Amino acid sequence: MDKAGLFGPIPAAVAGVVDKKFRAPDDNWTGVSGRARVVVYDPRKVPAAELPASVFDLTQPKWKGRIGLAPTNGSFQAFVSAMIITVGEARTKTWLQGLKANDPKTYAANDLIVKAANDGQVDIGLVNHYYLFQLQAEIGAERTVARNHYTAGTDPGALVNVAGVGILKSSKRQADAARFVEYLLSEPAQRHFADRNFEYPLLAGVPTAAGLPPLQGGQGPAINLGDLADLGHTLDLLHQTGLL
Amino acid sequence: MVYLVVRAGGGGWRAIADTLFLARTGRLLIRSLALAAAVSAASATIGVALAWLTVRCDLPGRRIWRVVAALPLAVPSYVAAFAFASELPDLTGFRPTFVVLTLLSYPYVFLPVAAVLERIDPAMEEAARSLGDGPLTAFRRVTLRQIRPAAATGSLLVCLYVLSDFGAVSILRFDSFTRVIYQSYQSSFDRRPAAILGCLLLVFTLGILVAEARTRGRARYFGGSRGAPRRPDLVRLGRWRWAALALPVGVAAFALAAPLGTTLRWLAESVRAEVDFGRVGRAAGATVLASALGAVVTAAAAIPVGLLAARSRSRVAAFIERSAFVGHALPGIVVALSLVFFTVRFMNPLYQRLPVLVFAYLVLFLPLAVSAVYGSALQAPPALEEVARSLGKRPREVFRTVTAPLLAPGVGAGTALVFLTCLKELPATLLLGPTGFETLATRVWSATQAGAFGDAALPALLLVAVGAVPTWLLTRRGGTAVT
Repeated sequence: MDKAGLFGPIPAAVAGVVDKKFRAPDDNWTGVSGRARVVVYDPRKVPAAELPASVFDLTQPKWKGRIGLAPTNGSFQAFVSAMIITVGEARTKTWLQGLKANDPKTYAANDLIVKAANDGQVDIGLVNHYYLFQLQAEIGAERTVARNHYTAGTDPGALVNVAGVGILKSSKRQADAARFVEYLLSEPAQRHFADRNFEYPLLAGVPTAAGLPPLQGGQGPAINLGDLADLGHTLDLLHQTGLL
Repeated sequence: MVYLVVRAGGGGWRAIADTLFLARTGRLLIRSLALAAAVSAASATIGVALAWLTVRCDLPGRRIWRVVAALPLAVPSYVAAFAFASELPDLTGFRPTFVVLTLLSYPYVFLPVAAVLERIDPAMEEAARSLGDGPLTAFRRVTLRQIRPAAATGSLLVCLYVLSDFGAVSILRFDSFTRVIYQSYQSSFDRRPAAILGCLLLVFTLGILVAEARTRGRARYFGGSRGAPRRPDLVRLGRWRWAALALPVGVAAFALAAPLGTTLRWLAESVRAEVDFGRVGRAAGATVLASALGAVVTAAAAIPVGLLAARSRSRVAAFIERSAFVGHALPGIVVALSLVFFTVRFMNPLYQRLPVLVFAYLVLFLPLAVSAVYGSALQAPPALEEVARSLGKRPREVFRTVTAPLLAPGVGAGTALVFLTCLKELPATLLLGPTGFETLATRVWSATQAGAFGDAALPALLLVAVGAVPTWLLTRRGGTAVT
């Protein structure tokens, strides 16, 4: 929507509380909660030593038939966009082809992959970090077998993306909209995102949910989140490689 | 349709060609059509068999089974599919999707056929029997022919519904045409590809509608009109009486008990689910309000359309009736977005108000009511109305005293069909409902979206319970009104 020129700037006093990494340079949008891409896995099938250091390892033949994906999911697509930005279209395409050759199981949504990993139906999957914690909150820690694995450093698989907001330029109620954004970035709302959704709060001082590893400063590829909007290439690649 | 064409045309011919000639588009269309054909055939078989057993046979508890057999319509396809997927996770693709969709959509055939069976003049069957036909031959040559129009339009509804379903195909991982439409909506702000695909779906729908219309003969479906039809004797199933029970029991077990049982298991397994009776109660109230309005408005609109289609042989009448079916084949999100487009531009004060939601239900579900009214209207001999007119009654009075009672079973079945279908409607309710308006279906959806499966159990159970009462009233009324 920002690329289409539909957003006006959020008042600096409102958006200013968010780390520059998680908002637009011109404050046309800002993140309100963070989510990390992770590899969810079933420890009964995948011993810690075998965990991939990078998502690029998932094209190895040993993962054949063991990977769960949700190619229709926006977060998965944003992650593929991040890969295109960091390693280029050619290498991303090769990776997608390798992934396809490994016969992944495709799911309609991330939470289904996490459930499947927990129930022993898929060994490893590419998801957002919070689905595991939501499952744990739902069925209890003792029955949650699946675990999250964070791939290392600047791997595109370690992307930290945001759920964000912007204010429509066309709105006749700019002040109310700004107040709403202010609320979303206030402590009660941030606590809700952290404690109920198990996302990363973006307001300094609000603690992450218990059991959630804190965000590392340099975690994930160094990219401008605004560039992830360009999904045209991503979808083309997913179509070309037959994953979509 | 205007919305689709406007949106699809926005990108020029190249964009249209690019979307249409993706190899995948053709492949998925064929898969979707195959699924629709298979589900329609299976639904017709189950629907007719259940209607015959519960209306015409001395099946133990047949009145209860008649209500129960209609209820799978109130189970959202994504709930049934979810339940199926969580019990039998290794089954994906065509077969489970076929089973789930058949179990949920055979009532589209069952309800209208049961309404027609209720009104069949037994004199014709008895004449066939007295002329030497065995019971099976008489059933095939007389009864089956009379229920054929209702069964055919019911199967048509199933076929169109399957083409538009998204919940079951996405969860059971059957790659279908609607998945492409949804993907296109999900992954970009460009509405053109989805609109182009929607237009393609429309073209195929029109093809199916024309083909189905060709199968309608010019036969008359009303009796010789010598007096009012007597109530037919129940067929004595004899030693098959209890064995026949296996069909309704089996269908109810798989279509109702299994998915609801799974949601209860989710509730039992959940460590955080809170049973919030207040919230679910408010959702139930909102659901009943919106669905009842939708059902009454839709059934009222269906009476003239169904009557005209049954009585007139003109092309205009056929066109009006057929065009009512188009909305049903489009995924709900397409209809909802087109209404967003129009209300925001031309009727802004109505945006996200109840009347627009009710109108969306009318667009989506008019054919359900039309098919039921049509079935009954075919059976009503026009001579009765002509006699009333010749005896000096005014047209309005003729409608009230002659036509309306004859149409009652069809109107009742149509209202029940629409009500049950509105109960579970999701995309239009989410997009067009007033802010904060929560129905049972949207509650189930938002709970499962947040991974709070336990919270989905109570609203899912209530969906079916709320559906049972009006179905019982409407189908019972049809049963006792025959005099």
